[in-house]
Amino acid sequence: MESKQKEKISSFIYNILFLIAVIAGWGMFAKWQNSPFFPLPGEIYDAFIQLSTEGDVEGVALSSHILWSLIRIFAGFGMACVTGIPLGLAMGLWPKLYNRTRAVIEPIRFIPPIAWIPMTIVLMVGFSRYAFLIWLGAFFPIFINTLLSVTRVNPVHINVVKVFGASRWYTIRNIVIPSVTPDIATGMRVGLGIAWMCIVAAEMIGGEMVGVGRLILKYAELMRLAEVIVGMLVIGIIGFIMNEIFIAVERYLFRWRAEISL
Amino acid sequence: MAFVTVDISKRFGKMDVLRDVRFTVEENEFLVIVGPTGCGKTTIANIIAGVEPCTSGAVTIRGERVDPKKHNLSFVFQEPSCVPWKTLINDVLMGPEIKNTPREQARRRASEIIELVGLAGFENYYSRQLSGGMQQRVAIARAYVTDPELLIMDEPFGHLDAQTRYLMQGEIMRIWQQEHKTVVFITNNIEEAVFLASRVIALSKLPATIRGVHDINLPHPRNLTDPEFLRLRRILTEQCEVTD
Amino acid sequence: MEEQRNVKIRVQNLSKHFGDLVVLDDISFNIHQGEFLCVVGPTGCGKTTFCNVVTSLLPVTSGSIRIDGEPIDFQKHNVAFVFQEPSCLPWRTVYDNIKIGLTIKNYPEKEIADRVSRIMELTGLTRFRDFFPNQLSAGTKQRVVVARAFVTEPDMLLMDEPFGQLDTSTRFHIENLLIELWQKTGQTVIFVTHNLEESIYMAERVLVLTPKPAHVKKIVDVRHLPHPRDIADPEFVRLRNHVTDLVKWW
Repeated sequence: MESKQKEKISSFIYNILFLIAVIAGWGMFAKWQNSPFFPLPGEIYDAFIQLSTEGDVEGVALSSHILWSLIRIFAGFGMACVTGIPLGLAMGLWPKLYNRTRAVIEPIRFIPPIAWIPMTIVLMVGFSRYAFLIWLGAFFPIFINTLLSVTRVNPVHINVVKVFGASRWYTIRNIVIPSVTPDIATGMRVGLGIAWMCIVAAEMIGGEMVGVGRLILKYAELMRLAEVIVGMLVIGIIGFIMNEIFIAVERYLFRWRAEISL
Repeated sequence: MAFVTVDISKRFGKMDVLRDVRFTVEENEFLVIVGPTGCGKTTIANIIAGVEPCTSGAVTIRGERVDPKKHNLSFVFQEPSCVPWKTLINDVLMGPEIKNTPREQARRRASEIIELVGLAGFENYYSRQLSGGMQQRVAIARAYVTDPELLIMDEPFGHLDAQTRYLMQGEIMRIWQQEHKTVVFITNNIEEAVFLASRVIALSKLPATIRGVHDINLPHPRNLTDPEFLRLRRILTEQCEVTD
Repeated sequence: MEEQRNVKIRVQNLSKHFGDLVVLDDISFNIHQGEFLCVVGPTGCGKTTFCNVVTSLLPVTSGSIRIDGEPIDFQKHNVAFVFQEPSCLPWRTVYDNIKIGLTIKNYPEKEIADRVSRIMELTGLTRFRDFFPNQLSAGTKQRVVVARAFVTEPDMLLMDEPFGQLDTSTRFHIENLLIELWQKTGQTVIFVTHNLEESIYMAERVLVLTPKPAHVKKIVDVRHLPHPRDIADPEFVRLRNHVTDLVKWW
């Protein structure tokens, strides 16, 4: 439809204009501040080029930092899926299991990953520190969404096959699982987003010299804020891209659904 | 021996929903159960289909206690019941799949029925692409494709607007005349009941008891404004009377 | 039958396009003061668009709608719309739901109290005064919505299939209530419905729309049938069959 396309194009143009306005605004504000701690857009850009081509003060390229962070994220996220989805399904299908363990599970859910840092430092070393913290961030959204998805299965659909004499196993395989998959996917996407946001906290205590979180902290110590901002922007943009890819995959896999989530 | 015998009571906690509801269903008849909303009609339908247990009594088919795994039952629900992740044809094929019908045979039968309900050409559509009336046709197709011994329909046109409802009533009659099955049809719409039924059972308010049983011998297609039609409508309205 | 009342609402050459799609095409009709007009048409003829355009929730593409000679305007005119879906505000009691139109229009407290009490009596809602919508049956909720519409004494009261989601017996009861309410208050009502029997049961005149692009097919006069109407009465039956033939698409 013509008007939809027009709207898309004008949204795109407005986005570009808004971006330019923000950058210009930042530039003017920075000039006015005239402080070494408030880099100009141009300085940020230069820092970005520097980090991409020559690497940081230790010679590590930006791409390496990004790669290592991604590896850690997917390790923690992967573990969160492998633990969260089956546990969520089990607790959803057998509510008694959940109701009898809630008093312990729920308070733990509300402890932020950052609060776990002291224990992580003491009890774990190396890669496992990262993986654990990221697992903490991703696990609960995945677990809770999976659990709730089971309760949201439409009873009419279950009755449809029940009348035909379907076995419990058939019902789980052909009705429950397709019903819950979209909600699980949403939980996974939210979990991935939170995991990515934990990367700075994780790499703060990680110990390795590589990672976007580490990059930010390195330059923060050196008071070089242009590079810090580059790091921040990299984290934000990659998070955004991952989210968009996830949504696109969801939209494709679940074409049969009417709504699209945010 | 009657084809289906129903003799049931049902309590939810302290509340009697059905009290000694007793009737039979003859083979190949179109039995309509009509009553006010909330009188327990859906409970009767669910008990007959084996979806819900009764507190006492039993439903039998040919003398055997009804069991969805043994008997060939079909159910058309009031809510749209299309499974959203399946295309129309796969939704309709679910019943035969569960009952292990050979694939070729199932497909042929499905095509036949899809044509019969007027949805030929829509086999690869998803339910979100279909209107309410069309989704109910899918549910009806799904119910017929397994060649059921007993077909139960629980207010299948309840969520459709008045005119689509008239259309579907005509369609259901057309389909029934071509594929003669034993049907138990639940509705709260008395005009619909008189239009469709070969026999009508009128239910009271909670706890549901049978107020009247009527054979209807008017020829199909029935005329909604025929004097005999209106007379039956009046009698049934009195028997099912609901005060505000 | 001679029309004594003057024209309250004048719709002239009303058209509505959505891009290339013509939904309403050159619709013209008049509604008299205190008249009960039913609007019917086949499924998908654009009745909801019709409702939205006539109440000016959607702008017209061409044509005009006038109330008392002036173009329709929410600031000047009092328009009430009863929707098909349950529209009781769930966080307000029955009393607060009914009075909301009057509060928005800044009526004095005393008058609000009087009007709301009176309408609750007329609709049998007095004992539900402090109930919340989720404690009420579907029929009672729609009664609240009807009361809410009538209490503002609107210049135009439009109802879009308000009883479509109620079961048959509740429907008959609330139709009778609506007629009683209309007779006692003398409001001008436009009632849109799919149910042809309902339209003959309640209307003074029935406006029949054609399928898309919709225009006026015919206006059927049913004023000669006395209230309460008898669906088995031969004249009722004749009129019902007549309207059915005009609308029938199946």
